[in-house]
Amino acid sequence: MPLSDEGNLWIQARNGDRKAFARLFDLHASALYRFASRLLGPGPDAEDVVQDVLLSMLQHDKFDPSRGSLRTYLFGAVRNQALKRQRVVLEELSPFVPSREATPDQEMARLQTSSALATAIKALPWSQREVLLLVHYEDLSLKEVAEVLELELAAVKSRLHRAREGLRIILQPLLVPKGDRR
Amino acid sequence: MNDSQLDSALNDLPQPLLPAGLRDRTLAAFDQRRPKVRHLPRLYRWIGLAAAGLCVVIFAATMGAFQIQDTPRTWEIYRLEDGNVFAVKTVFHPTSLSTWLSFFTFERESGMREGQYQQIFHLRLTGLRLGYRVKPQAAGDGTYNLIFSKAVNPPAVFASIPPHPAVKVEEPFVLGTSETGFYTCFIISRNGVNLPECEPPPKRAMVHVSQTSITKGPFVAHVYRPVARLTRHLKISELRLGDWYAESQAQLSTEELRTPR
Repeated sequence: MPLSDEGNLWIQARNGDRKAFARLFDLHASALYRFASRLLGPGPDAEDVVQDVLLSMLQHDKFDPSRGSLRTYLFGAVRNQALKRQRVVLEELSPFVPSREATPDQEMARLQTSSALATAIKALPWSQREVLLLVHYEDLSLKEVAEVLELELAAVKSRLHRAREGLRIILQPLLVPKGDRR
Repeated sequence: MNDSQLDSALNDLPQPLLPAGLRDRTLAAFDQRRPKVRHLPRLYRWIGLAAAGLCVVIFAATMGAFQIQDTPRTWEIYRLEDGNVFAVKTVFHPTSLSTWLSFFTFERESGMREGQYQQIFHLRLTGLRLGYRVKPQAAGDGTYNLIFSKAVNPPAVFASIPPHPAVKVEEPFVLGTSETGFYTCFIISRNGVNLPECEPPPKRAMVHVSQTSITKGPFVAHVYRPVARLTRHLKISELRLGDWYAESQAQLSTEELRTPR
């Protein structure tokens, strides 16, 4: 099987090519950090996970192009690293950036929703949260998520469904129009 | 709360941004941990090329030196205890990177027969064998071995060479070739060898010179012409050791030619 461009980059970086490593970092670090920070909370832990995953190639390269893409391999590695840490920190997510076009009332409502959503996501069980994050925020297909988590496709679908149902229950009061709350 | 409302809410969640400095820190860590020998293969290639070039130069110089030193114009003469005589010469050819071993065999005792000549053997030796000599040795069963006396340790038997039964020679002797009636001869001394390279080997004539003293003339050449069934005896009074001899230079007379010595 011919190696993809990313597969070649990976091999070059593993052999010490700095430019190849920087290219891989630029391609994947943002998504990996997003995923890690939403699993562990933003901060040093998420940064360490991203760094460790990318530098792990120099010590023990387990990437096998025949088993999947580099992207799914990296997400799986981040997930495993995060699991090892086992520190689910319920911290605030990144600072909220208000929209310039929204009115103050709308911004307040949006802030409340976002905070509630962030809290709700962190309150989800780990197995549901990682599926939801990969599908909704990293645009991985269900099949790719199954590769990352080494699960059956049906299990991925089931976890995603339960995650969405849980969020729906938590967020329902916030999304109901004020006039309906009586 | 329907699916679109939930998706909309999920999309409102802010995206965590990659921390500033993480890229630089990660690259710095990569620099510290990456293999440091990645440029060495290229260096090794240059070293290898330089070494190969040097080897070629040394090889060419060595070949040239051996070509000069180790391509004797003289023959090594070995007189064995059973009376047989071998003349051996090795020549290295740089173009073919091989050494050719040429040798003659002679039987000393029984005299030369009319119309026959000794055989010249040319053997191509495998590999580079420079600066060696080959010494014949009687095997005791009527055959002879050529043994490397140098550059092969221990000396190895190279070939088993049967003596040529038809060639008889008295020393010193002269070899000649004749396809056009023009003889080229060379005198072989008692203590050394000065034989021409006979190519092609003599097929139709043989010149044989004998003498009573190496320092005094006259030399007597016995010429055998198998076609004419004529034995000619030449008296060559002015022939010096190492000189080429041609029929035109010999002062032949029919009388002399027809008078057996």
